[in-house]
Amino acid sequence: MNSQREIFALVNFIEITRECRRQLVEDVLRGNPDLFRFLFEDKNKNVQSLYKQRYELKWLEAHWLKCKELFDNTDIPIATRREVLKIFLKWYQKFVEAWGYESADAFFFNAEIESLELLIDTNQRWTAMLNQLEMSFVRETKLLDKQIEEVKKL
Amino acid sequence: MGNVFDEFRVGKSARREQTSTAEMLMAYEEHYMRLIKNFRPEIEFINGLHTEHEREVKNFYQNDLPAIIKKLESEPIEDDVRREWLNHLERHMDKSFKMSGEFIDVLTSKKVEEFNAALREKTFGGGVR
Repeated sequence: MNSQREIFALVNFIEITRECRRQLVEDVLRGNPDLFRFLFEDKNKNVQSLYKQRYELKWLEAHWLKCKELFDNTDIPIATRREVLKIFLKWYQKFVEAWGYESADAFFFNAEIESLELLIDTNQRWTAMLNQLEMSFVRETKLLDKQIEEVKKL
Repeated sequence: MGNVFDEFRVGKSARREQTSTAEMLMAYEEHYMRLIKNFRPEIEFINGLHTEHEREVKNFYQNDLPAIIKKLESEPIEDDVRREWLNHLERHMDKSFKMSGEFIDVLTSKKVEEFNAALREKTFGGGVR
């Protein structure tokens, strides 16, 4: 493999890991909504866990997206781009293995994030439905109580 | 009486050999110094990566983490959620620091290999062993 391209990919990936670590710190200090949605979600532990997982996956995915961004707005031919990205992928795979992910297929993270979002949506719709049901129950109970009061007056 | 230094006199062929060895050593040293000069920017760059990495780790634990703890304590977040997130954050950062350190070591090894290969090219008359 071309040594210069290896070095290029490695040097840039090291810089990308540094940028993403900075992002983790700034997300707390500046109040990233995705993060704080999880931190403030204390009523529904299932949803909280899903938000946390989604945040983690998006952070890991960000490393790969930054690798691809290096080639945005450049004249680098597609074949060269593909070759260098393969080298990036090698380092990215080693990186995500530390989090227990064996497959660093970029589509994998995308699919995982979409599934989590679907679960969160479903969970939230379910919670909304339960809330509506609860509200209906409360309304019906109040109506009943009112009717009972009126009957008592008779 | 002969010359007392006669026994120490070196014959012509031996002297030629000594000169040739000395020239070889000088040529090697010249090559080595030239390589150091050519590789200097890269050596300094990699050294910079090591230094910057150590500085970043130290800065996180000394400055960033206390600021993060303070920020989270000022927000209406449940204690157990805050503790859980802080543990999570530290684990993420530790893993990321460890992986970056390993990548910097890989880069250093690659450069050392490159340097040695360039050095060997001269000493073994071309080609890489």
